[in-house]
Amino acid sequence: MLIVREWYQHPNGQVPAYEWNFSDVNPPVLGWAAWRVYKIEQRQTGKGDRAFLETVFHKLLIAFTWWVNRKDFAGNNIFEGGFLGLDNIGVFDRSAVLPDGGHLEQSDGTSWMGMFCLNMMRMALELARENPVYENIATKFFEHFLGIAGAMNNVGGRGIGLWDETDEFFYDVLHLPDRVASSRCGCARSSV
Amino acid sequence: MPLLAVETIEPELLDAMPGFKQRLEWYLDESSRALAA
Repeated sequence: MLIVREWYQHPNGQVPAYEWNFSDVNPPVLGWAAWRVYKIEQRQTGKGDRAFLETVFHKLLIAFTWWVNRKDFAGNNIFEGGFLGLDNIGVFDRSAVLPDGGHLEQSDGTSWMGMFCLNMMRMALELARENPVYENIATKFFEHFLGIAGAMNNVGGRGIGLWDETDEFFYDVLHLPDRVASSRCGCARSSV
Repeated sequence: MPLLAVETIEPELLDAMPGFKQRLEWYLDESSRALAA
């Protein structure tokens, strides 16, 4: 709740990453967390805290839109986000601007946003049980999820996907200024 | 599987959301038709 209150959430919708740098970007997991809190309380007490869910949902609508408007460089449902607080390592410093003006279409940022869509859809459906107004916004997130899922297999309708058939793995795609999109950059995997 | 995002909608919930259900079915039908074309 605290992180989406007025004194932490930026007016543009961004939520702080962590206490040492509010402006960094972390994976958008607040929707998942809010839904879990709601369900745990519902299981324990027999009734979920609808006011809590509704309050967080509205703030996350703003945060979601911040992601869409700030972290989708090409407007193609494939997201960036830089270093997203995890320990997966890329070939480039993903939080820095690439020297040639290109940018990375990130598989991790995109998948987080796919999950964010589903979290928002599920919360909206729960809220719609008592207020059908939320059905409409649930539909929005359902369709947005399918848009992201489709874009992962065909970025910008140009036949390039994040999925590598040979490696059976999702990779980032390098978007160069002189080309619409190149083949994927150096394939790097890391695990922790 | 490297990336996975899943949500389930139980039939009971879907039936309680007529507007959502109608649009969902329309969207899936239209998408299938567009893909087949």
